[in-house]
Amino acid sequence: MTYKADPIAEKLDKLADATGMPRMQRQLARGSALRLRYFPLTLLAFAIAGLWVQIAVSEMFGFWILMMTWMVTLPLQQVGPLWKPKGDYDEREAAVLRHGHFVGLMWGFGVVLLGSLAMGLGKMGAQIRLWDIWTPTSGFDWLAVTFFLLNLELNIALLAASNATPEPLDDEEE
Amino acid sequence: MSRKALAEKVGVNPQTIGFLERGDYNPSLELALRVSQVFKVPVEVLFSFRPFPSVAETLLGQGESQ
Repeated sequence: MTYKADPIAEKLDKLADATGMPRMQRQLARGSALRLRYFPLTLLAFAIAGLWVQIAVSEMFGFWILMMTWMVTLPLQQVGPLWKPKGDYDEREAAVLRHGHFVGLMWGFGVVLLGSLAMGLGKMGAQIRLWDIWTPTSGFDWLAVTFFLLNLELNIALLAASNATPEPLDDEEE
Repeated sequence: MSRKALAEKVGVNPQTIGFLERGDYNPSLELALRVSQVFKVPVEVLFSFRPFPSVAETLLGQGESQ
């Protein structure tokens, strides 16, 4: 008797493959780092939204969004190419780690630089009643800015490191 | 020799050996020398600016020359 596959099971398999989850699970089981794109981009979007909420809507709610984003960002680092459980990086992994954090820190530095410039000019404009700009004043504001910068650095570092990591090998067990 | 065995001998992750084979990673001079030391061949036998011909291309070339 010839084998005839169940069409429903086959379609479910194809659907599961399309989500990328089985491949991700195999990579995690082998201890290989995942190349992440959509998760860090989503978290960056949440961080930007959190800062906007902090500025425009509610200082407690914005801070809460930014803190929650950071709490998801931290465990995500552990499945990406920036983190190894025992810290035994070889030369390629160490280079990826340095590259990722360099890019992340440069972005963070750029945002701090431009943000400070905008706030400085904004406050000067406010003195001559031309315009005004938001600046952190309360403790929650400063914490929100801190979490925003942490989210920015870690997620951009993860994106850069994922981009610098080649596609996984198809035959890693060999 | 498996990737894992070579990786253990030269002190890197087996994934890195796979990326080296595939040409996705350029090793440091130290790693290149360590790999060549394992195989007891000069480093230029293993690493080159130009991609090495495949086994099939080499065999075909030999057949044509005969």
